[in-house]
Amino acid sequence: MRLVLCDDNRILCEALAAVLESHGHRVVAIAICAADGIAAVSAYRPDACLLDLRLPDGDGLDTARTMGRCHPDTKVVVLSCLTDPSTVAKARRIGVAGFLRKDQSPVSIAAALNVVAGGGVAFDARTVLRPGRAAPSGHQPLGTLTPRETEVLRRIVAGQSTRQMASEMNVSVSTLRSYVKNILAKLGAHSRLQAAAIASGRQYPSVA
Amino acid sequence: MVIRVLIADQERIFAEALAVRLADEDDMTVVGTLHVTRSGHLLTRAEPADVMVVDGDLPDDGANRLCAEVSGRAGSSRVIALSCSSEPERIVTAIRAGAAAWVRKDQSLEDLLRVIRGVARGETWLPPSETGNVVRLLLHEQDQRREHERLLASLTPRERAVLACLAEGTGHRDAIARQLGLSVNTVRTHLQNIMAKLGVHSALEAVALTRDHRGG
Repeated sequence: MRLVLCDDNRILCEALAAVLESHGHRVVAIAICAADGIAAVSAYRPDACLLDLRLPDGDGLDTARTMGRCHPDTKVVVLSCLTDPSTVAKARRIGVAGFLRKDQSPVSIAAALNVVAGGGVAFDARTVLRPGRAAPSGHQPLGTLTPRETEVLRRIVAGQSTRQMASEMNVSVSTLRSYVKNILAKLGAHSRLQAAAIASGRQYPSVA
Repeated sequence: MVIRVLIADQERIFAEALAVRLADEDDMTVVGTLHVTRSGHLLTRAEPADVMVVDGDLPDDGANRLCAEVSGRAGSSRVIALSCSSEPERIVTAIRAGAAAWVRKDQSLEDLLRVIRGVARGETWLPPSETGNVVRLLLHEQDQRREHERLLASLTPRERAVLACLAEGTGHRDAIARQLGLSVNTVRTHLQNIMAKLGVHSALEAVALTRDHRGG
């Protein structure tokens, strides 16, 4: 099958291309953004485009829609780590020929592409049956902080004031206070000072 | 010499495809791939390697923890952090944790091969576009650390003891007073003096300053 690979991780594209070629596919172009992906599909008219959904210059589903509209002969196969049911459902409505997860082996990607080449569809069973994987719950309370909370905690450790954090993070003071409240609750800390001590490993958290 | 490479990434497809591709190189052998979804002690089950290619975007600061874990081992591996981005602050943190190189995932595989061979020889590789910023940031931090050291040196032993209480998370004057066997008023005076000497406005800020100091 003649393929265009579109993923912002160029190293992944190049490595995956080598594997797919050893399984009888041919990679005619690699693109690392949506615009290049669409251009490559126009230029090469491949049998299929393996498309990531997180691209630096646009939403992958929109890209899939554009490819499908402009080049109906090219089958779009999504390759993504986003596998929540609503994304998969949207992709199906757009008419993609497959939805493959990134946590599988390159060989199974090659096999799924063979199915698509034969006119079939390749939806990883887990993307259909299993609801989106919940974020792995860390054993350490620090691991249960959201990225935003982690950022606030990092700033607390750096000694920043509420006002400073709110302005640098572009949120209101009351939003920021609620982040802090959540952090203290998750860490089982009574004060920011104690949270800072826990975060820098000087004190053990009091919650398991 | 054949370079033993270990790959750890959140995306299984990436780790495995890269392993297959690296195996094509005569001077490299992939000793393992780790599909990592969370941080923690990852290396207990890993083969010894000369170079580790680690996902720089692991959650919970995973890449830096891994670097720290590696550097504690005998005959430790050289770590290459692979990331979608290249903010100088993140690169500096990684270097501090012991990383030998930082490569963006939108660079080419040829670039990565060059870096793997380079770090195996003991070289350090940073994205050329960020090297200036990284160096400036490190110099700035060093200046700041010196300044902090100077300020901390101006504290009396008692003031330092009070500051240590703050750093351990004890914020209440009463608790500090009890711990150090001082009166609450004395502790209050010490706190005021500490803030004035260090030129800070909160206990948190004072503690942050000591952390920078220890980090150096």
